[in-house]
Formats: sequence, structure tokens, C-alpha cells
Amino acid sequence: MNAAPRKVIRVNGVEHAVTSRADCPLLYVLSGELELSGPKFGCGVGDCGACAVLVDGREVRSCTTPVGEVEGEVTTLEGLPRLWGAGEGELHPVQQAWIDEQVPQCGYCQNGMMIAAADLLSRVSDPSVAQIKQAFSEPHPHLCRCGTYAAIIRAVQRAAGMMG
Amino acid sequence: MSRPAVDPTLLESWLQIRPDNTVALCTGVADFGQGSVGVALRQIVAEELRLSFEAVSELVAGDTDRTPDGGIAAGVLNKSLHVHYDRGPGVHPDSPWGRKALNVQKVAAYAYGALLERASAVLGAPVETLRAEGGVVRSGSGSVTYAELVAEAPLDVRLEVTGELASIPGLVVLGTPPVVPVSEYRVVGTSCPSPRIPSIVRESIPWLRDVRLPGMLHGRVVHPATLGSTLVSVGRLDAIAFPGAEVVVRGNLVGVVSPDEWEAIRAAQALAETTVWSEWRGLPGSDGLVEALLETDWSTAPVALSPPDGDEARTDAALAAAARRLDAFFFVPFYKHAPISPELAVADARPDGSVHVWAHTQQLHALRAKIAGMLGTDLENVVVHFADGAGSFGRTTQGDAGPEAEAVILSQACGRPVRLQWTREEDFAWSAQQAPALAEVSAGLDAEGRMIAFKAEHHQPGVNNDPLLGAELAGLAPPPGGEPSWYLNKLQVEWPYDLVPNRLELGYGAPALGQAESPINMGLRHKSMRSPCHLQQNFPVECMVSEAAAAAGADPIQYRIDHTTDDRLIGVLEAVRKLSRWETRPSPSAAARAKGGGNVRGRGLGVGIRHDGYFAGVADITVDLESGVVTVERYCVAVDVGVVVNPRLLRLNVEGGSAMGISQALHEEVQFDGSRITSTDFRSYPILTMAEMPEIEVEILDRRDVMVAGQGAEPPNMAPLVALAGAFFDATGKPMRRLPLRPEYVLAELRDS
Repeated sequence: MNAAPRKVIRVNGVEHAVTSRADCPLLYVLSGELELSGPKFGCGVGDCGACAVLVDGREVRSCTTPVGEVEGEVTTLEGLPRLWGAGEGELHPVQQAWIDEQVPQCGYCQNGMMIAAADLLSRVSDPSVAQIKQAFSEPHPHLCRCGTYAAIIRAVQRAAGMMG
Repeated sequence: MSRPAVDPTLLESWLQIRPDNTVALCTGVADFGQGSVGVALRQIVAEELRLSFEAVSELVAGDTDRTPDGGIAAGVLNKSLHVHYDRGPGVHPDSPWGRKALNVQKVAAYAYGALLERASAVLGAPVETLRAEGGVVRSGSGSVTYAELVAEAPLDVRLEVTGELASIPGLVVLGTPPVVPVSEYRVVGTSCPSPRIPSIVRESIPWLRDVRLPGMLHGRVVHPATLGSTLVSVGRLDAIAFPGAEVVVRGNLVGVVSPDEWEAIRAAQALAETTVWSEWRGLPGSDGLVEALLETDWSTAPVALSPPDGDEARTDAALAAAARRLDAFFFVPFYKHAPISPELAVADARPDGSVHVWAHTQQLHALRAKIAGMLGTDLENVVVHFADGAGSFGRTTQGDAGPEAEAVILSQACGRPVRLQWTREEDFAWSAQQAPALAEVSAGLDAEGRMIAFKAEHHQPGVNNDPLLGAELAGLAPPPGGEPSWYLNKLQVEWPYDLVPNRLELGYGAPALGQAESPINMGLRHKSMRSPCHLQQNFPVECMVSEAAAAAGADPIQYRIDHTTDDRLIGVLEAVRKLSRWETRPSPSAAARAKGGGNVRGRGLGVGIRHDGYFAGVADITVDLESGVVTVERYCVAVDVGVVVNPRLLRLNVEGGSAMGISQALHEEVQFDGSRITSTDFRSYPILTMAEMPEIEVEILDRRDVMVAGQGAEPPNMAPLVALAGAFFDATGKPMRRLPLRPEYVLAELRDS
């Protein structure tokens, strides 16, 4: 599409003039115009969390957030290392913990899981199992069909140790 | 007959040694997240070539034009599937593997033999005196690398293969090359990390959703209003509101394409509002499902008998003569695969008549054959490429996940590549599902409470009855494939209670509900899902064994041990007894009650045995007698799969599969009315959340002595259903013979007491 830019959004430290309609969910702007593969389409109504991104450090469901309403800096999974201030080729501790614990099976939902973990660990430095379960389930759940929940809990705690 | 695009008789088609002394492996099946292909096959190849795991550095998996062997990705390692279901060509007496694992093991073993022969000539030393390690062959005086040995000419080994690419087994490599003995494994049996995981956390993995082709359009489909509706009139799109959108109609297939995904989504919604479909009612509704199954004519489909020499008259006589007889009906509902990604496909129907399809499928050649059949074109004109997607646990058996044919038809119609993404609602409403099951089970006990007779009659509509959706909607000639595969309606349970003298199981099949009545051949069609039909047969059988134990006043673990000589079953039962700190006593517990409010607690045992994988699980649950909510607090499971390729990977798969089983037991049930599926999102078809995930403990037994790799990743979902039902009985004194344990069913069961 060669439409005129409608809005400027800041994603992973870079400003982008985007052409999508204001009612277009942020998800399609990120995956379409910006060709980022982190946020995934899972349900379109905020029920599963596959599309999660951070806006100013807090988790947002990009499938239900119109791009016109985005205020603040967007961080996708691709931007987590930068958010942490990781060096070239290094990862956010959450990503490293996900590798260390071999969390992903199919991996499709794990974008949202790592986003949720980054949000949680920026607020709670040493979360208990109950706090982790709550953070990944309320108010809207992060769903995993492969059932990696136990591995995610271990990885969040490992990441907390690395960030401590 | 399909002609493979690569020559499977040439070793180079399977395995290439590169100048840097690493190895690339090609196989016709891809990984779905369990690691069976992406990790385990590499370990097996590294083992035979005396290489490190890392040296098997590239895996080309699942591409009909680049990989040699076809087949299905389920049961990729499994020897008993290979022997019993694939009729066992090529089985190797010294190998614990079957299927794809057996193929690549043999290829690697032939390669190793050829490399040593070349090294012998180069080094001037007899083969028997050579040692290979890390890609270097050494004699007493010299050494040469694998890469040097193939620098001038690739290995010229010819393989003997048999089979059909599009079939479940695919091609099978014959012959019995010398292989590494199981007792000498160094790479197999270790927890090698998945090479795929770093690319997932870095987002460098090529997901199917990110396939972008020049000129590609985004497609959406407006599906019929019901599972039997036909098109009355197509709605109109406002050209000003949707300047880039184009409507495509083929028969009852109504689609829209646009260069902009958001426009395609909005246009499909607008089109749906003004498109008119005929009305149809042909389903019993999920509230009437049990009655509908009871009224089904089960005489139209094959009946299977187990054991094959089972004698119904003798078993019935033993039941009639028993000191005590137990009879019960059990019900397991329809299940959805519910992948976190609604299915999608990218198709490129090119002007030269060739068609390329990108799909997340576990049986690429079957999809290829279906698409070619639909188009009436030669197989060679269709190429299927695998790309990563969300785990769908059997949904792509027989090739297609749902949208592939629709994508091809849209691409043909508009002359451009089309990426067709189903919505969440479509994925629930238009995908095939795992068939439900109804079982009538009887056990006969003698005066001491021992089982002397056992009979089960399993009724399930025919599984893998899923003709190509797009072809059906578009009115194209239905391609071959997609007919019910009745074998799954046969007896799946691997009955281990050999000390029960009389036992008979019968399996019945039937057409899909509503299918014959649907003008578009839909109804509630079926696709196999994780432990297909086996889980549905295991639940009633194992629940009845627990009921027999209770009737005998016996502990459910000890009762099972007392009825078997199978040392692998005894092994997992004793292991889980210790792991869960099990108190030996009969169920229900002394504190069990079904009335009076408050919470009651219970513990239960479940067993699942599938293709040489043994699982014994113990669930601890709480039942809230007022709300009917069941909470699983802890789940312990002991596992014996014989030869273990990768202990950590197995542990993770067992955790995940157990979570799915708990999800199925607690929540899952497809609901539908007279016209359509009404479970169309994660609220109406809830799956387990992290908040509901119990503490989980897994113990893996070392039984490499059995020389068989049993199934590890698929069957862990079977035992939890039995364990949760047993725990419910232990807590309340009420047997729960229908799933799921949703509050409304739980309260109804408690009220009936």
C-alpha cells in the first residue's frame, strides 16, 4: 500500500510512520507494515496472549489495541534485549532463561509468555509461584496448548535470579 | 504412484557431509515442538556416525521437493507402530527404533560403513583397525576427516527402499547395516538442547505466518452459516469502503482477498453480514449427544474384536457366573485440537500450472496428493513446503489442517499468491474434531474380589473422516483421501491385566453425526487428536478397573499389581506409589462425602499404556461441594518408555502432555446446537490456564534393556483422565463416568447421590 503516513509509533527504539487505518489493531501493523514476527495472532479478542507486546514496559494485547490509540514506546520480543540494555548478540535474561530451561515446544505462544515475564519481573524482582501463576492468568490468561506452564514457572524464577 | 522429487535410493538424498565436517540430514517429516524430529533424529544420526550432537548441524525437514521419505510425523521413533501398524518392513533386530528414526539410523549406519571403507583405502589399514570419533577416522599411523573422504566424490551408496510417500509410514529404508549397540550409546540418552529454541526466543524462526511472497494477497473466507448451509446469495462489498478488496466465489466457497490484511478482515466481516445461506439443522445438539450416540446404528461400520481370539459367549458366561458383577456406561466428549494459532496456509497457483503450498502439516505428501487430486493435475505440479506453526496435535493427519485447499482455490481465482488466515471462530467452527466415545463396560469379580471377567464395548464415530474442506465447498471433485480410517475404531487399549482369565473388547464405528444430512458433506467431521481413540478407550477400561478395586475393598495400585505379570506396568505403579507418597488403602477415602458443603479432598491413580510407553499418574484434587469446582493440586507421574533418547525433552513432553490431559478432564467438551458448533473461542472451549496448573513431578525409569523406544511425547495425556476421575471418587464416593469435570456436571453428579 502506498497510502500516506497516518501515525508515528515508536517500536523497539525506532520511530515508524505507519499507513494503516487508525482502527487497525496494532498486531497487523507490527506483523504487516513492520514485518515483526514476535507478536502472533491467536484469537483476536485478547483471550490467549500470543499477541502481547510491552507499551512503556507494561503488557498490552496488540490484537485488541487500535494503532490509533497507541501512546508510548512499543517493545516487541525482538526489542527485549535492547530494553534490558543487552550487548550485541546478547539476550534479555528472560530469553536466556527460556533457552536454559528449554521452555518452548511448538513455541507459538512463547512470545506472549516472555513479554508477560518481562513485565512481571520489572515489577516484582523475586516472584513466588503463586505470583507467577496469577500474572500469567489474570486478568486475561496466557494460554499454552503444549502445556509448558511448569517450565515457564521455572524459567521465570531462573530469570529473576539472573536479573537480581 | 508418486515419483519422488529426490531419489530416495541415493544416500546423498538423506545425508550430506560438508566441507566443515558437519552433517546435514533430510527427512520428510518436520518437528511439531516435541523435539522428536528436530532433536532426537539428530542424536540418533550423531550416534551412528560417532559425531557430536552439534555436528549434525542442519536439518531439512518436510518439503516435498527436498526430502526423501514422506510419511507422517506422529510416532516418529516408535518401533511397535512400525511393526504392528506399518506391517514392519525393514525392521532391524539390533535397533530399538522404528519409522523415521529407523530410516535415519540406517542411512547414518550405511554412511559410516562407506566412510570407513574409504578411510581404509586412504590410510592403508584394514577397516577393523580403524577408530572414528568426532568426524575423524584414525589408524595407528594416520588420520583423515569425513569431509576429506567425500571431498572428491560424495558417498555412492545405493539404498533399497519400499513404500508410498503419501501413506502414513511413507518410504522405509530396507537392510540391516551394523548399528551401534544400545548399551554403547553416548549421544542418545543425553539431554541435548533443542537447536530450534534459540531461534524461537530470538524470533529468527521462519513461521508460516511470516511467509511473504511477491504480490501476495491476504485472504479471508466467509464460511456457511451452518454445517449444512448452501449459498443463496453473495453479499456486496462497497467499493469505496473497500477499494483493494476482491470477492471470489466458487460454489459455496465465498472468499475475499486484499493486499492489506486489515482490509481483508473488515471486508470479510462486511461480506458475511449481507451473504445469505440456506438454513439447516441436522445435528442432535451437544446436550443430546449421549442419547444420539445410544441411538446410532453401529452395525454399518467394521467391528473389531480384541483379543482376536476373544470369545463373547465365554466372557458373558463368566460375567454371569461372577460373585459380583459391575456394569457401567462411560462417555468422553468431542475434543478440539485448539492450536493457539488458528490454522492458515499460503498458496501460490502459478501461471505454468504448478501450485506451491506452505503449510504446517505432519503429512506433506498426503496434502500434496489431495491438492493434486482436487485440481486434477499431476503430483509433480504440486509442491508442499513445511513452515513452523502452532502445535495442533493430530489435526494435520491426512495432510490438511483446514484452510489449505481454500487458499489454493483463492490463489487460482485471483492469479496471485494468497495467504489465508482463519479466524479463531472459524478454527473452532470449521475444523474437524476428535470423535466422542461411549463405552459399555462390565467386570466380574469372584468371592475374593479378583477380576475373573472383563468386557468393554467401545463406540466411536469413524476417526479421520475429513475430506478436503475447500474442495467440498467449491464443489470440486472430491479428491481421494479423507475417508474414515476405521483402524482407529479398533481396539487401542494395550490390556496389561493378563491374570484376568476372561476378557473381551469390541470396537464399533459409525459415520460422523450430521454428515449424511449435510448437503455440503460436513456434519461433525473427525480428525485424530493426541492418543486418538486410545485415550477414549483407556478411560472407561481403567476407570472400571478402579471401580473393581473399590468393589473388592482393595487399593487401586495394589489391585492392578495383583492382576498383571507385566513388569513394566508394575515398575511404573511401584515408582508412582513411592513418588506420590501414596497411602495404601481402598477408595473412597474415609472422609469422602458428596453433601454438606465445603471442600473434600481425594487422590486417584491413572494408567495409560501406548505403543510401549507406560505412564502411571497420581492426582491429588479438591472438590468444592458448593460450586462444583475441581482443583488439581498435584500430579505425579512415573514413565517407562524403554530406550530414552533425551531425558530432559521427555520430561518436558510428559509435563506438557499431562497438562493437556488435565485440561481435557477438567474443561474440554465441544458444544454444538442443531446447526453448528457453538464452542468458538477460548471462553466457550476453555483450556487449562497456568493458574490451574498443578505442581507436577515426573520420574523417568531407565529401561533401555527392553530394546524398544516406546512413545513418550504423545500418550502422557491419557493417564490424567483416569487419575482425576479416581480422585473424584476418592473424595466424594461418587464415580464420575462422564467427562469433563465441569462444575455443572459435577453438581449434577453430586445431587444424584
